[in-house]
Amino acid sequence: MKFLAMLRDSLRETLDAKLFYVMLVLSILVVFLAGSVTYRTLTMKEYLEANTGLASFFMRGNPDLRNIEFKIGIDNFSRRDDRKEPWLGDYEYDQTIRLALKGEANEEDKKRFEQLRRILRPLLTPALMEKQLQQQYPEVEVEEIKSEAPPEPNVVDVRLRINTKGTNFKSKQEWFHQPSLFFGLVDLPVSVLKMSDIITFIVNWIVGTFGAAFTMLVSIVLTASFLPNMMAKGSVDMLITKPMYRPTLFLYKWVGGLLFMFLNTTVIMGGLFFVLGLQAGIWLTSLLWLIPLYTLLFAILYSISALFAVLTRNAIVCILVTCLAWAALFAIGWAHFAFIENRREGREQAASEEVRQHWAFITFDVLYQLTPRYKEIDWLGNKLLEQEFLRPRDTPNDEKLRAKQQQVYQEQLEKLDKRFGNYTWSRALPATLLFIALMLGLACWRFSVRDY
Amino acid sequence: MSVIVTDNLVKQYGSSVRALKGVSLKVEAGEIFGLLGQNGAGKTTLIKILLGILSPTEGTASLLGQACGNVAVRARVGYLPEDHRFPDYHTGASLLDFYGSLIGMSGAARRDRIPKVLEMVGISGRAHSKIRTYSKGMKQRVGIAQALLHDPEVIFLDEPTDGVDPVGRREIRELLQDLKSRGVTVFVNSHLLGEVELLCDRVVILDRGSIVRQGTIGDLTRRRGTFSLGLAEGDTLPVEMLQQRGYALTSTGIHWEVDLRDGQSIDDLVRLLLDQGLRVRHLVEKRQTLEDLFVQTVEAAEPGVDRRRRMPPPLKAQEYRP
Repeated sequence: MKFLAMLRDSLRETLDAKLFYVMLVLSILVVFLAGSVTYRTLTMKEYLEANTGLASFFMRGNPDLRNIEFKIGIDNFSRRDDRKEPWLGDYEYDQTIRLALKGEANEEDKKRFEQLRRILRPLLTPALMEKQLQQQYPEVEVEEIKSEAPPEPNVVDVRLRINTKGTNFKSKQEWFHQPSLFFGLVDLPVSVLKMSDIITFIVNWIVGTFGAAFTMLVSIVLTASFLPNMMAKGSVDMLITKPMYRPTLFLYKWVGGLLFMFLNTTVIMGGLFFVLGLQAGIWLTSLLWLIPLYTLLFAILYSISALFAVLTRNAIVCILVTCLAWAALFAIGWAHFAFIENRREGREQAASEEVRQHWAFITFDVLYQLTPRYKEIDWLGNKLLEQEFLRPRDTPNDEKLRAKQQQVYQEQLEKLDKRFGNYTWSRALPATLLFIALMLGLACWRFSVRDY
Repeated sequence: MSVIVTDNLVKQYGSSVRALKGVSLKVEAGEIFGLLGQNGAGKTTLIKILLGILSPTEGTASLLGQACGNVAVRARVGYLPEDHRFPDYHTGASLLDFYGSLIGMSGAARRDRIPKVLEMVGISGRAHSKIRTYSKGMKQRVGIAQALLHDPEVIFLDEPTDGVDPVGRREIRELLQDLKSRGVTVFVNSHLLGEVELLCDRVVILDRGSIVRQGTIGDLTRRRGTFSLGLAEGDTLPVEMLQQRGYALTSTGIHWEVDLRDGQSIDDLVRLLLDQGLRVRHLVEKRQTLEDLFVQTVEAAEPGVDRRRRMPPPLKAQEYRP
């Protein structure tokens, strides 16, 4: 009951701060914006045309190739099944590639044309194309259709007939969509984006990076005064003369301070969970996991703030020290990933044995183990979200396709694991919780023995 | 039974400030006990040690039979600190609810008790207004209300009438008398000596960390050997004769003040006057106010504060005009 009383008191203190309402409004605004994003599912034809259009666009954009015509197109497109989802369909279409020298070409252009022809022509064989398309389709057949017309000089014209069965895209989240803002009012200027990429962008960047950083900063500033206020002369006497042990009182108040972050994160993540679920049909439970996760990240910083609150009873000092610690933890996390984790044996950018045995490498790695894993937990949260996107949702009836889908899923998971290095919850959480416990232990000890 | 006992209590701040220098006192159950002293005399330090807010450097102190600082005992104690600062995001009622929860009162008990104590201290009409809108006197009343909320056995009040208007002071006095009649022990620390005199059964005067006087109000204010004497109309006091016999007399208008010296007795004086055929109509043993006693006892200036000097002469006009 005493704990609840302290929580209620902290809630009152939080709600009393006008800043909380500003944050709440901002959070609701972000949720509204994310909720106003609608996703129009692209057909396979639209997807292919968007892709070929992009390739042609980039070639046209090259000023050295202005007198060379390059065009990739889709022709004779048809779908052979009657399923609704484009990523589950069987397709037949022609892919056309045309490379031609324009009339006004000079000698330099001719040379470039010949170079291009030499590079491209061998790549445009059915076998190579089939191999390339297997990244997209589990079953694909490619056949070249020879033109009956005599070949023109300075022209490469290739037509490939492509037959596919199913795709490697496992779900709606992995399929391509056209996002629009304000419930379809404004099309966003992106064409070939997976739904998961759009949502990851919203969650990881808009909310997870900028939103979380902003919320974290506001929370640091706002809650920095909670403990110094409690310990102010005239206020602390009222509390420590109540029948409670001082550490208990301190810890209850500290937990109360986490409320601000928890409430804000709950509004934004809970809101996103619902709007994305309703709008995109994806119910991302990992979004709900991000609520305790961001609260934990804030708990690291708030434990530092709490220690300095006891030592100095000055909110400004608490804010400054906490912000410095935040920047340091962020930098240490990145530095460890870039200089240590990414250079371990077996990684793409692995360092030599000599570097890995260097005292600086080892010392940094050991010291890192003693720090709370702010950045690491942040990454693990992102990984959690990405893992959820990768999980197959629409299972094909065909057993072969199902097996292939599972294989692709496993490969993607491995890739994800590789990207995030050896960072795991079992390593990140104990070190972090130990750090928080240490900070709070010191703060409680000081609060208990100090004369007020 | 002694509710509060301190034995040779010493409190040292750092290496130079000795706030208490061996304070020993006892407060009995049901007493209103006054703690007097100048600023910096160690009054608040003593209260804080008794409540476990400060730890003593030497000596022992007990409260309700338990060593001071005992957590369980705090549920039986109410406290109003000097210069209290209540969280101003609370209303009067919500603050009491919060403190009541921390004390361990049940929800039902809080719901029952809060309106009563708020009414008792006279702010039930503003119970649901934010504390930041309260006047100093109202905050003081809320402070008293929170100290009384859980019906404690002992109440410590550090300057309870600070910021309260004269009517409010009277109400607080009546409230404390009421508490006393219900057997509650009240430990008051106040600068308002007139009020202490009216309220307290016993007082202790602290000076620079040491007890310099203690006793009942009656004992402390009695001026031993000074009497006011008056005769019946038409009778004249034989001043010359009495002075020859060693009595010191001072006229105070219609009465005379008699200061007895060592070995002299008022009974002998009265007998002498009666033998002379004079009729004694007025005889009162003179008392001093607590303030007189306090000023006499604590003559030195407040520690760290210079003695008041004569006002400097006013500035001449040309000295401050631009």
